[in-house]
Amino acid sequence: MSAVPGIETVLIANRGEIAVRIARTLRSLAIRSVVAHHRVDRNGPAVRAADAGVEIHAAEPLAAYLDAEQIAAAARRVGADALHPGYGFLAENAAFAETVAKAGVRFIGPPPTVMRLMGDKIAARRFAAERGFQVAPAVLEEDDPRGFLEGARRLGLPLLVKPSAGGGGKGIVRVSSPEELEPALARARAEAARYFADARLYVERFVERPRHVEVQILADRHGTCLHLFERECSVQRRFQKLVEETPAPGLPDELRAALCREAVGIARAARYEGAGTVEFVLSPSGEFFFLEMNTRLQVEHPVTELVTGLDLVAEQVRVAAGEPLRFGQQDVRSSGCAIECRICAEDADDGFLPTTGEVLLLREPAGPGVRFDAGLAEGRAVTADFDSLLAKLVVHGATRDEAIRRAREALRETAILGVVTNQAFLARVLAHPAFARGELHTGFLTEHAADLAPRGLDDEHRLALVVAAALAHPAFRERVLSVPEPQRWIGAWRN
Amino acid sequence: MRRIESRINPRSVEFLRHRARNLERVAEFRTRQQEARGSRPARDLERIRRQGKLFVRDRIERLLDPGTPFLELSSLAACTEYDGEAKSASVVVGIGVVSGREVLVRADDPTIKGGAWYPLTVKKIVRSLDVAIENRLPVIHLCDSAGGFLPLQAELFPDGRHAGRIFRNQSILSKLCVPQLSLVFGHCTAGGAYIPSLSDYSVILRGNGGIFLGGPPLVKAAIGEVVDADALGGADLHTRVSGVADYAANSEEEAILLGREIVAQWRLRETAPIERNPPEDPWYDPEELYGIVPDDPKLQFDMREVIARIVDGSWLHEYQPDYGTTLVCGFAWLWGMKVGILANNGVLFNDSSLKGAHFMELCNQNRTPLLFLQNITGFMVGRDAEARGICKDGAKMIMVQACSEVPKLTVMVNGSFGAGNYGMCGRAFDPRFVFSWPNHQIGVMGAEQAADTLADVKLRQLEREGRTPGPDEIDAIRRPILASYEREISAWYATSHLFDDGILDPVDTRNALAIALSASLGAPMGEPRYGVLRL
Amino acid sequence: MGYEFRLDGRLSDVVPVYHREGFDLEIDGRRVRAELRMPRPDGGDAEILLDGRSHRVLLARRGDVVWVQLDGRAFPVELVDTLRRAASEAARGQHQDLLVAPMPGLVVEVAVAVGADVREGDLLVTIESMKLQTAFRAPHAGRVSEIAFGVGQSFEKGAVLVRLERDAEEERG
Repeated sequence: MSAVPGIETVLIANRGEIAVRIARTLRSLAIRSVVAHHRVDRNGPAVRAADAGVEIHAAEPLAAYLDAEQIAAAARRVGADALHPGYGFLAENAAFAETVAKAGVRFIGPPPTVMRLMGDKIAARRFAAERGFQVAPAVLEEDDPRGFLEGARRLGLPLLVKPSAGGGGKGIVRVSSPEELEPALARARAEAARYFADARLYVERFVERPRHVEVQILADRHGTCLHLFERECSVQRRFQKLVEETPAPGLPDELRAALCREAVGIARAARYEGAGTVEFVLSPSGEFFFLEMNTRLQVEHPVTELVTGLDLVAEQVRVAAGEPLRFGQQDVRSSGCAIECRICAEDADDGFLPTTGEVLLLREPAGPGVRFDAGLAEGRAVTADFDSLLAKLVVHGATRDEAIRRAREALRETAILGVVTNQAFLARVLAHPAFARGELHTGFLTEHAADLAPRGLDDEHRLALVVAAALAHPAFRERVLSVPEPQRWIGAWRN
Repeated sequence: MRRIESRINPRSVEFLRHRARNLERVAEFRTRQQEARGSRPARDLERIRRQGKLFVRDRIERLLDPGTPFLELSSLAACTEYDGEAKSASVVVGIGVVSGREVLVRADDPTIKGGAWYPLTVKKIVRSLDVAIENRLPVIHLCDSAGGFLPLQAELFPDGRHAGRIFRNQSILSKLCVPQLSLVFGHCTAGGAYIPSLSDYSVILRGNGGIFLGGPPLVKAAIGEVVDADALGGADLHTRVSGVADYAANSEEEAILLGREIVAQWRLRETAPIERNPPEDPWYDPEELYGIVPDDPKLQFDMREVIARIVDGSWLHEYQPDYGTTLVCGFAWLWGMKVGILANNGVLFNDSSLKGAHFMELCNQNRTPLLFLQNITGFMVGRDAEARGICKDGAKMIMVQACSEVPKLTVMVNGSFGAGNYGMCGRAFDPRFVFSWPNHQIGVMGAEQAADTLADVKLRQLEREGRTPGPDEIDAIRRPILASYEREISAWYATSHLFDDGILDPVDTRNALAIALSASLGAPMGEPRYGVLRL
Repeated sequence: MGYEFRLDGRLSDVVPVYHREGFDLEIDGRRVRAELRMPRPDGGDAEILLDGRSHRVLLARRGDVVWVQLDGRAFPVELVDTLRRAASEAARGQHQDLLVAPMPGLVVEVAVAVGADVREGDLLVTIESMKLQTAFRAPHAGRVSEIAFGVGQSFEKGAVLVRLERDAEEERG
């Protein structure tokens, strides 16, 4: 008997760490979980964490997780009452939400109309602007296709070219000088067409040293819409978040309150349901502008969970079941600080190129205030088929300093051997004095790139590593000891 | 076994004098060796660099297993001949470990007249293959030679142990199921082409490598065909079309590493089982060897002092310690391997000859290899010795020694004169390896004695002509004979002509013998059997 | 010349220094008495002693690569197949060219067919990896002798994508 009436079985339409994490909550709610997976993930941690799995077929693994029809059909076949899309893949695909609903399965997320509204970044901007919310100065191509280029020029530099149908930081191009504008538009258009099947663009003024601050929203179907405070996500590389935290360091209380109020306002106006995130750009002078709203659970949601004590997935399920939120805004408290580090299969020493390999050894950090969300297991292959995120290391501390300290210790304890990861790079970020001082903005990693560059190995370390590898290598030992006696006793002698 | 008790005083005047003299000798040896190994005309070094070739000893270092020893044989071959041009006789030979296997390495040296073979080169190569056959050692040839040194062709081609013997030896070695690998870095022309062809495996370098019975100039002269070396017999022709070579490599490093991988496919040699013990360093300091051997061949020393600084723990089980005392016989361990030692402490008498013969029979029964430490001026002469039958007693010693089935190793420590050389397993008696110390002398008789004898003949001749030469004249007759004699009985001359397998610094003797002994265990030891012993 | 281990882009030379009880190691010319204490033979927690100094490490091995984590940093250390390394170094400048993937990814476009003659600069294949697209163009004129992956197929870093044969005639000219 599940703890959420009406929802006995949920189909998880995702993989990796988020699928494992969702399954964990479902188990705690006594809800049966079934993971839809491609054959390559058949023996993966997600299938093992869930109660069952249902296979989705496709030639390439990625295609399977984007096959709306098949997934919806699978949900119906296994008798799912609801479907959780996780993040990425089809999570913000309104058509998919409709297909799922048509199959008689509840989609855990906002209504498709809201998804469509917020999924179209241009429409979302317009929606917010029309209702008096603050948006960044921009020029939209569809407002005036012919005058777009001129409008872009007049907007002033620097600016960002963005795909209208975009999300997750994909397809964004920054322009710093006038000559760059036209090629940037061409490139952004091509990428938009490829990633989102929609070549529409808009350009936005780029705020110098902006901070990316977002607010977690939770709304039920009965008109209650609250915020669960903000998250700072400025430590980014190529618009991909790397380190997130809450609360946003050094944010004055009134500004925090204003941001959260604005976010709730936008979500309420859109008649939002479920968990979502309103993203803002914060300028050094304290101005903030609505960027976009993500109509799904974010990767970095655990930091919010650690400071509020809430389980966001559980709340999502309850909202989907039609329950009203069991608490009000005044009941939501944020205590202490939480930091999340995204451990990715990337070579930070080589242009952050994605890496592959096999997880030969996994050591997860543990201890008070330490949480490790991973979709890893020893023996699993890390391939180029999917996103490079391997695990999220999330820590909580009474103060920001304590959280940073805990994060650094936990990172040191963490071992994912067999694939090159950005673990050492994350350690350098956490150790950087500017990070400790909370001097964050989206250019943080670029500004401190030189400091964060990898240090070469010193001789002592090199020696230790080579010795360890040599003595641990059976073939090396065998060859060394294959020398017959007495030569093996005499050594490197010449007459 | 008992630990040999040393009685020398390392601080005595004599010890220090002997030491100084021997160290001089060793220093001279090292200098000559360094020169033979390293000094080359700049033009020749430049040429191989231009050709992208590695120096021969660098090729060998890359071939050998890291951290392992290499026993080079006859490093000073040809040092007194050919105006000193043919360093190490233009070929490097030694025993080392490759891919965990004991092998013999033979490498042409292209920095000396393009690696051309002098008569002593051929002798050294034939000797190296004799070593391979006798000890069943696999061979790796590093081929890079211009062919026979034409001006001296009569001394290296026509006779029974000239160049043809190389190919005969290769064939017999193969018949004995001992593998051979050739790495062809340069040209193998005419007879030389048969080295890779008679090898079980061959790797040829693209570019510099070539195998042909006749090189481009000869082909043009013989049949008028104009063709370059690569098209005539290069890597691609032989590894893709003719099948004469097995693998092609694009760099010397690749060829050498490929060679190592090939050797790794060979089965491990079966070795004769002998008794083994955990090894132990000698109790006494081997450095003291320099002070033991005197500079005057007339002076005696106790060979036990030498043994004590070569064998494990200085342990020796002496056989018949009170009988035939001019020959020390006993069992000892060398880097953990059991050996039977015969060592001279004076002239060989009837009793010492008999003792030696009996001890060697014991070693044969026991399957214990023999080690001869020579310092011998000869057998006893005179009426008494003859009446006691020194000839037949010496003959018994020689017969047993010659017919021994166990491996024999010889070290010529100080002097090796006359028939004493025979009884104590000189070169002619096929010791698996024979080494000399730098102070060593080998001849029919000592230099002074020979000078006296020959000068005496001359004097008698002059007297018959009615002349009586004065002391100055006598001296003038004697001195050149002495000089020439001393030159010809010196260790340099002997090693130059390959009368031995190399000179050793005395402190290197222990390691050299251990490697040699280990190598020698590859051949089976037969049942003991001797010819007729004149009793 | 010893065994070669590749670490952090550099080769380290390792020579065993034998003695009666076993062997020390000489790493890049520096001799050290080294010991490894590893309770589980297939990896995990271990301790290495270097001239008596102790270091705790984590080890995992796959094929010729040993992953070592020391002081919170993990490195793959590869026992180099020296023959393969020498052979591939020596093969450069030979007649065949291999276009090799600099990172793992997917093929998004194949612009030529096997057997096609191409000029220098002609597009061969386009790959994509984590929002990065890379176009592979012919480094010189030649003939395409192999295209190893089709559109939509994924590959590893270092995989041979295209084999291009150089026309020997053309080379000399």
